[in-house]
Amino acid sequence: MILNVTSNPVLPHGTKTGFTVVELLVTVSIIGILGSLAFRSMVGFTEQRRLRSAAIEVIGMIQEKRARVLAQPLTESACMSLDPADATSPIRPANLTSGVTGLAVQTEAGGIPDPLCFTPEGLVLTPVTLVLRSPAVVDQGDWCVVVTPLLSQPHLDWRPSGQPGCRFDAGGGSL
Amino acid sequence: MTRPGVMGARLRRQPRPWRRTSHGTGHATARCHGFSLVELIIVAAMTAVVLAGLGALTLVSDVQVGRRINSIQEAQEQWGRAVIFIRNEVAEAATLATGPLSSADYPCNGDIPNPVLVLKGPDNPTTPAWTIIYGVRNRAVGEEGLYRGPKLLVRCGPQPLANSTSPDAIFGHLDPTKVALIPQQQTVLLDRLPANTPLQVQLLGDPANGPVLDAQLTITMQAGTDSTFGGDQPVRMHVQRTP
Repeated sequence: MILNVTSNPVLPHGTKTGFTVVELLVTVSIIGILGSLAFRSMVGFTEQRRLRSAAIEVIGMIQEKRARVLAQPLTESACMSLDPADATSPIRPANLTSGVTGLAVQTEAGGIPDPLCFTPEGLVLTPVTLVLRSPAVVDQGDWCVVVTPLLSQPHLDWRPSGQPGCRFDAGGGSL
Repeated sequence: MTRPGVMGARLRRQPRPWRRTSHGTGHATARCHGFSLVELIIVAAMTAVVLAGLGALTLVSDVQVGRRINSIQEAQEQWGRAVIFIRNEVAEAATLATGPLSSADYPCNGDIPNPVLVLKGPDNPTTPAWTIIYGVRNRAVGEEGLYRGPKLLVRCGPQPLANSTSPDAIFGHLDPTKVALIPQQQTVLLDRLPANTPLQVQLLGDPANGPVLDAQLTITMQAGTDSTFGGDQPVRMHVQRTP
C-alpha cells in the first residue's frame, strides 16, 4: 500500500512517490517514544519541584511557630507536632499548597518525627531532620528539612535514593 | 491583441512561485519539486532540539538563580540570628577576653578554636560563674555533608535546659535555674565560614585597666556553598556589655 503524498507532473505517468505505512508508523512510533520519555521526565521534574516547595512550606511553618513562641511564651505551646497524621500538626498534607501526591514526612530512619520544641528564647536544643518523600520521585531522592541547634535555623538538604543521610552537598537531584 | 495560443505557451513556461526549481530559469524542462516530508521532519526535529535546548538552559539558569538567592537569604538570616544570640550573651557577661587557649582552659570536647572571644559571667555575683567561648575551628573529617564552608563558628558554654519554660525570653538562657552549667557543650552556630581569617576579635579596652566590656568582631561568611557561589561577606559587629 502506497500513499501518494506528492504529485510530480514531471515524472512519467503512473510513477508515484511517497511513504509507506510502515515508514510512517516507524516515524510516529519514534516520536511517540521520545515524547513519552520527555513527558515522564517532565512529570518527575515537576513532582520533585512540588516536593521541594512542600519542604519550603514546612520551613515557613517552623519559622512561624518559633516567632509565635517568642511573641507569646506564656500562652503559646512551645512544641509543634511534626506528624502529618496528627490533627494538630500544621504540616498535614491538607495544609500544604504544593500539591504533592502521597506526601510522607518521616525521620531519616523512617519513623514518625518527634515534636519540635523551642525554648522561650526560640532555641532548639537537639537537631531535627525531617525527610519529605513522594512516591512519584522516590527513585530519585528525598528533600530534607534540617533544624540545627541552637539558633534553630532550618535549611534544605537532599538525600539521594539509597543513601542513609541528608547532605547539603548532595546536589538536590536534577535541580 | 495577443494570440491565445502564444499566451497559453507562455503561461505553461512560467514556474509556479511556490515551487523550487533546480536552476531558477523556469524552463519547462526543469525538474520541479517541493520539500519532501523527510526534509520537513528533519527541519522540524532540528528546530525542536534547538528550542528544547534553549528552554532547558533557561530553566536550569532560573533554578540556579533561585537556589543562589535562597542560599544568600538563608546565610543572612543565619548570621542575623547569630548576631542577636552573641550580643545577648555579651550583655550578660562581666568581662570580655581574647587570646589563644590551652586545653586546660577549654572545657568542651573537640578541637580548640582560635581565635576566641571569651565571655565570663555572671554580671550578678549571687549566681554561679560561667564561661562562654566563641571561636572558629576547622570543619572536621566526616562533617563535609553537614556544614558548609571549611571553618565553623562554635560556641562552648552552658546549654539551655529542655524544660525551660520561663517567660523571660531572650535573656533567660543564662539563668542558672534554666541552664545546665555542667557539662558544657560545643555547638556550631555558623558554618559557611571561609578558610582565610573568618573571625577577628579586637578588644576595645585594656584588661590592665579593669574589665573590658567592649569588643569588635569581624565575621566573614560565604553566601553560597563555596567562594565562587555568592562570594564572601565580611560583617563587623560591635558587642558591648549592658552598662
